[in-house]
Amino acid sequence: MTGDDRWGELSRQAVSHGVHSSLSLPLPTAAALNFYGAGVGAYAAARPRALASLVARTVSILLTEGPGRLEDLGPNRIQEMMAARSLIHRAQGMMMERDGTDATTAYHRLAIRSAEESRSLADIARQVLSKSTASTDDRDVSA
Amino acid sequence: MNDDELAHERSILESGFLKSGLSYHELWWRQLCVGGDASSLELEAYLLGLLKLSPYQHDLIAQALNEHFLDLGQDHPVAYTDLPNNPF
Repeated sequence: MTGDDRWGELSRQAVSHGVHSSLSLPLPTAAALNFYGAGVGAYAAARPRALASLVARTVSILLTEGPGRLEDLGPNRIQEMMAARSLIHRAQGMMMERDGTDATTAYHRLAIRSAEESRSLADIARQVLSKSTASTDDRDVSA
Repeated sequence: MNDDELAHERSILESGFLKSGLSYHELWWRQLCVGGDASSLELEAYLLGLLKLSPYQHDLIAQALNEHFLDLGQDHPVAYTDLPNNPF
């Protein structure tokens, strides 16, 4: 926040309220989706920015579909959808980083496991992320 | 993958959609849940053979259909395109 002096009082007020980072992404309906972080440089790294972009993309889809398409969807269903997408995208990102593959290949690998194990893609993604965390923890312990 | 192969894959997807009993809207919602980005108009136009989508987008719709069949206790009957070592 303090690294960008264009916003003057807004930045000072934000910092005084514990907001030290922000990321604004344009939406297709003359609007923006704003993310605020407590840490300095919270959106400087590639992964948080990519995740924020994915969220913005999802919101864009929902907005461009219009209220007629959303009226029969309660907040719970939208929340479930966002959670499932987040799991899948995070697993894809982790596999891309770990295996040096692209998003399509990572998705195909998740889809193959989903078919082989007769489980949903979100379940497979959750397992992939869980194993990745456990493996990182193992490395932390052994280091 | 050439246009004929894509058209063939699309017709398989369309058969799966008809077999599923899902509405276009419900399938659109389900493909969002598995990571898809297609709008409801794009999805409907693709299933009707009026619009081309990438093999990746095709597979996202196939995954949405397959998860519906999974919910019904069935296997993954809709084939994916362009999978390396495609087991289906």
